[in-house]
Amino acid sequence: MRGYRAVPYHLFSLGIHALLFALVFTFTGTELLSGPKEKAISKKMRVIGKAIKVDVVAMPKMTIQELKKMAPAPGKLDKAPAKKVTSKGGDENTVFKKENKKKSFADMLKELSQRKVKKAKAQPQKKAQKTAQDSGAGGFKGKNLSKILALGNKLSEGNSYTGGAGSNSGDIFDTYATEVSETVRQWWKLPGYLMNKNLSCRVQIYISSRGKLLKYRVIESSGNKDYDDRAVRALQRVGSFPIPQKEIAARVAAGDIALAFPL
Amino acid sequence: MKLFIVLVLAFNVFAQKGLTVVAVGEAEVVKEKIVVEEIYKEGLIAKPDLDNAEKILEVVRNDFRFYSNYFSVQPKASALGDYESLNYDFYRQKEVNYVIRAKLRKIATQTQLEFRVLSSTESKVLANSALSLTGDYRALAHEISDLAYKAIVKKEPIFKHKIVFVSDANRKSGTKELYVMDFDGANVKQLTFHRGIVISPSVSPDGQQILYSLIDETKVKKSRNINLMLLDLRTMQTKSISRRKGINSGAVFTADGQSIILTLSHQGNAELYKMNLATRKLERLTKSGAPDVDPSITADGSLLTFLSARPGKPMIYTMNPSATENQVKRISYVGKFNATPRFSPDGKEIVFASWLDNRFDLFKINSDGSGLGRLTKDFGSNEDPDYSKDGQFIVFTSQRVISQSKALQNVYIMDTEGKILGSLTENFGKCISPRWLKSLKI
Repeated sequence: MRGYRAVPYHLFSLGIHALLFALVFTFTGTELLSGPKEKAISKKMRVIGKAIKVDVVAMPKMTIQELKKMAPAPGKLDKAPAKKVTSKGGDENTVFKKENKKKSFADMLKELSQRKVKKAKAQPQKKAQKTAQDSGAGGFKGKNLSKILALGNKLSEGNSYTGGAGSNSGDIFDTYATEVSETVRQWWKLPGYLMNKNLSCRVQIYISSRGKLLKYRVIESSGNKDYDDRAVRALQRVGSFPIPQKEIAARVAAGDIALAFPL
Repeated sequence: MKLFIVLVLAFNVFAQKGLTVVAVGEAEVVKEKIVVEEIYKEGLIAKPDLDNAEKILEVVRNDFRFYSNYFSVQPKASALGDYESLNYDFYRQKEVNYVIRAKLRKIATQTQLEFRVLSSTESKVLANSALSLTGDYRALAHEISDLAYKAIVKKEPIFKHKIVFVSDANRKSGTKELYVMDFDGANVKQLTFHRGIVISPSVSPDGQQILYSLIDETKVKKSRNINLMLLDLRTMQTKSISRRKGINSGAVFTADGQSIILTLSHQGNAELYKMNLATRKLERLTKSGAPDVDPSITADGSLLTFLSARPGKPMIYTMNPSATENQVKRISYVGKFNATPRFSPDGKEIVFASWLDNRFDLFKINSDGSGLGRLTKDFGSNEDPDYSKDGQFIVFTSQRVISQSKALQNVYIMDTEGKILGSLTENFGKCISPRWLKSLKI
């Protein structure tokens, strides 16, 4: 009898409490308390999220050398701006669209004709991608950004920033200036010890109507003579520059173009 | 991001004072070709002098091979034409940028080694000097390389720098002493003779003093303590700096060389302190329940990095050492066991060792905690990295287990992106704790 009273009573009590606890626990999981609970969970999640962000990251398995050989970063970044070319064209169009509201249908046709010019530009862009990959640059110390800028330079043709209102001479001039920079870029080389030093210089150039370098003038020095000399040497190593069209030949020969090394 | 790129594109061609400025973009990185010609002779030169001169020029070639990211050292070229007049066109055609030319000349009883550094692209002599062919020929070679490099790069190279390290070579089992060698591993000299265990050396900014810790093996085990010692390289005298109970270790000099930052455990827990070397006055830098060890400080003294067990396992922290627990920031969040964080000379990067796949490997991280990158892999167990003074190289130790009782541990050198250039010690016992020492004649 003693055994019957003591053990079953406590067991019964435990069972009841366990049932009550289970019921409460179940209800808290239902709609009744789901609102506050979700909040509590989401709060926790935020905290856990922080912890996970830290703990899931492991020490890198691949070395910097291996990553450089794979060169995924430059590839991706090279592709990215290439994609932007098309979307960039779209953005350019949005600018043009605004202008088109005021412009005639003939201007729209001009715009379309400019797109053909872009196809012609596709080749030098590939070249630049090659040189960028060959040089092994990219992935570190903001070089990728510079590369985007460099590529961007080639994509910016067709924008009219100087003169030529109503005519196309501004576009032609900018296109020509860009071609000149691309020609020089092939000879623009630096030793490792002059890289990543935030050096930049600007050189004004005078090109004859036959594409010969008449003279140059360093208008902004980098402060490092070796760097400036190498920029000038890149200019000098260009055998012949693209021949400017008649409309812009006078401006080109008068030194209206300055090259920025690198930006 | 898209908007940003579009904006950037839009401003790539723009007008400046009536000019249209066009960006040429980033330059292609190229290696400069350099030639060290065979020796020129003037008058009758003795055979030993000639042999020494050839050895000197070979060391110069080897010196420039260390800077393989900058230079491509060409095979030695025979002395062409007159010493005074270089055929610049000849080298330009071969796309050689720089030429080092040397001549042996007898003046009275002395043999002089004249040399000049020439730039073929600029068609001019960049440097011109002469040295007396006496003394250590390797030192003469490093002198020539040093002048040539400065003339070309306009920065100080590592050619005259040395490396301090600890080794058990030729020692009674278990004891380790301090040694010094040239940057290229030649000319090894013993610096301490304690018959004890030397650990954690650190060189003063002027290269004249070395701090190290010593476990005195001549004492009975109970009275052994890790004491801090200071070696003056000018007098070769050693003195004791701190003999407090427990650890007196891991000390580094501050930028002015007047103070040191060290680990002390006399109050129970290992903490970092700053000590004025003249007054020996202590200033507490860390105060936590966990051990804080292995300090390294930037050249300007504004940032200190150290190892702390605060998170439960050793992680890298930084702090401003101007006051106790000042701006303490955790830098590393990964790695089972991180060790020996060391600043680059510009203070922008920290190189450290971390336990991964049952061995230590070297990693680097920006001092703000970003840009974690791996430097070594599948190359034994790599520890104890130290940046060269010009920030172009990292020395470290690499251990290879040969058998259960035998392991090799040597000092290696690599560039700052993990390209290993080679070992600097060989068959010299187990070498640990390499530290750069700025030029000083020892």
